[in-house]
Amino acid sequence: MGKGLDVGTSFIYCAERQGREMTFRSQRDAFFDIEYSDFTQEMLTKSKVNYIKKGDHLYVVGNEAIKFANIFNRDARRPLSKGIISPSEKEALPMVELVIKSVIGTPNHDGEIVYYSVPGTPIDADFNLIYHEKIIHGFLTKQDYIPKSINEGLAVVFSELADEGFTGIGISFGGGMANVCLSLMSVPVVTFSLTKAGDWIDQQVAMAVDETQSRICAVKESNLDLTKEEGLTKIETALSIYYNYLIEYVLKNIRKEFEKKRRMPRIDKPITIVLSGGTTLPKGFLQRFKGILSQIPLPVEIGKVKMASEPLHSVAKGALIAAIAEEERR
Amino acid sequence: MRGIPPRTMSDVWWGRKEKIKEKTIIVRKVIRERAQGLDEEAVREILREYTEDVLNTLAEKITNRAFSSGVAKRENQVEIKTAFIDPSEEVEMEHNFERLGKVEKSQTDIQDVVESLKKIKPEGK
Repeated sequence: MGKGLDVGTSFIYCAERQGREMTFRSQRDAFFDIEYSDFTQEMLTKSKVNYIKKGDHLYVVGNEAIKFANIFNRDARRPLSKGIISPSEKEALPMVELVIKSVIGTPNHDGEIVYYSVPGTPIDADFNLIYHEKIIHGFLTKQDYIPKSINEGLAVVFSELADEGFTGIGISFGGGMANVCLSLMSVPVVTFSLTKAGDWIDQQVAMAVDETQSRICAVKESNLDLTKEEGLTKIETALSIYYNYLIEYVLKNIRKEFEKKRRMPRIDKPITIVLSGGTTLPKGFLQRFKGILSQIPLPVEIGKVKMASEPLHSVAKGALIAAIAEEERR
Repeated sequence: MRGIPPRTMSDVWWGRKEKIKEKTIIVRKVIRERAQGLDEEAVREILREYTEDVLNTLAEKITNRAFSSGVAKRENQVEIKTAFIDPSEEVEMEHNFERLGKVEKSQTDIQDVVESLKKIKPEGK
């Protein structure tokens, strides 16, 4: 069978195939602590809320963590706030494990293969990627899966560029990171990640207009239109500016990394860029990207730029495709 | 009978009223005299100070009421003790979970994509 797992900053998605259709199960990558009492524990159990009891605290995990955070007017904690599990967030490990368990469930058969996404090496920060990868690997092995990692950008290529022979550039604009992969015939040639993405936009705009990040995020996710040029509110104007900056930042770094690459393989025909991730959801993102791309030429010839068919699910879908292909080869 | 007629209650009542009226007239005269000596600006200043005092007192009361619950909440806030957890150590946890989460379905058939990947990707790589 096989499963695909997208371990993201904001959400964790699991994709699996059921007959001719795919099922995507998601949970918020967040947890919230409340003081323990017998009554509270009983209430959570009866409501089927995911929680962990540790010492004199109860930790609500997943989608309900955000609801509880809103009720108590506090912030939920996000163990993957910058895209990976940090060694300093050891307290969050059981929470991440529980969220992963709750979306992936038990294997359909012994030794089922699951491909889980990992970010590329960040070029604008110093992160410990090995720790993150090994921790997720350990969680999945405990669940009796055979886990394998796949670069997030490559998963986007697998999901969307089958018609192009899995050749092209896959870019995932997530919450904590933007991941880029140049793939040739399914082989990753250049992969890297950048730590400026959706959350960075929220933070910068919040500082610029003196609003809370939650409010900025709500505006961004509800009715932001990047094609609109007049009648913009203060928040929309700031969001538009920072979206421009983010796209320029990503393209300039793509150009820099491609130019740095020794022995860049020769590509005979123009390649396709595919965009995915929650940060690409606002209307007009594709046009904005194309416009900025025309001003920042890349060392490879670009033919087409397109959006992923399901921007939120591309990474999980690509990981699922890799898992099924490997299962069928066995 | 000659002499001072006896005072009735009505006389007493009206008498008191007359005295109050006289006193009031006298007080009004005094205030007018004193007020004439006061500058218009000085009167405004007195009124301003009085109003500020009243408003400050009200503002303080309103602020205390509004934030008293918030202050209480902050004092009762649970702080997470960031204890180091070695991944190798056995942590006793009770947990309750089922395979939950938001479920979305997609009608896309990916078998063709899987076949393409199997052809193009060398086995074991």
